[in-house]
Amino acid sequence: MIAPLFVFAAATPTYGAYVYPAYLAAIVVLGALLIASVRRRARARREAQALPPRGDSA
Amino acid sequence: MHRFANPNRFLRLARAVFPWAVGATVAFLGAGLYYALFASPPDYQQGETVRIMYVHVPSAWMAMFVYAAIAAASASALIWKHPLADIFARAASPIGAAFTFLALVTGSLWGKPMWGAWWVWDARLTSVLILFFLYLGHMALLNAFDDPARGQRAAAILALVGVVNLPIIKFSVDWWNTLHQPASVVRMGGPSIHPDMLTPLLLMAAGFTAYFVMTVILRIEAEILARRVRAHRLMQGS
Repeated sequence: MIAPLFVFAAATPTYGAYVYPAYLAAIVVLGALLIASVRRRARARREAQALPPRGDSA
Repeated sequence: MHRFANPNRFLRLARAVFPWAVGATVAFLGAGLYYALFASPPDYQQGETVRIMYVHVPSAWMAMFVYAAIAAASASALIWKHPLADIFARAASPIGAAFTFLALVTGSLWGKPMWGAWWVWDARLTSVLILFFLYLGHMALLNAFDDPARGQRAAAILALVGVVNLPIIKFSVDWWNTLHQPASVVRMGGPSIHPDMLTPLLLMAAGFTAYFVMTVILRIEAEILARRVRAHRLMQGS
């Protein structure tokens, strides 16, 4: 999460005090939502795989 | 649409679409960021601050588009009891809220250097803030009841009632004398923006749309699997 921010900071020309935070806000908000969604799916997959196969009543 | 009411059939389709959505997100956002930050010129009045528009405008479009999609899904859930419609509405709501939040934050960052204020109680800004509260209310209602079905019904009704806010947002700049500028892309007579600035705007909008498809697929799959696990635990408990 942090590494892309540094790459972005190094690559971006200086456009003043307002442009930079706008793009950072987008990266942080959309990045955090994506990471949360990936983790959510991974947890759901783990729990679903731990279920006994269908038809197994044990 | 009812063909995909079967979660297994939907998951097969979603898993086929997902890699394309990831690819489209990377490609469109990569190209969009290049044009937005390097290839597009500064505006003759706004200067470099115009670059905020390439995040702000697509975020605002997505905020409205996602809400309209949630409302359509809610109608489908209430009328036809489409099993995936509720799941879609639940999955899309945080994504729409994130886009609305981004539209408000980036708009505020643009407003300070251009208008001299972080916030004004302008019709456009206020109606978008109401949209953000509608999203928060939708998410809160989904989790407010012990019985998830009751929460889904209440949230679906809220989503449908809130649709009235979408035309208010769109036409607020025409109906009232607002500080916010009028429509310059989706308008009668075509876009009034120079192609050099329209290109990054449309690329970023395509990137945000692909991001939405990618993220909503992830969240829908997680929700379907979580429901399967809950149903199994309930069966074991009974």
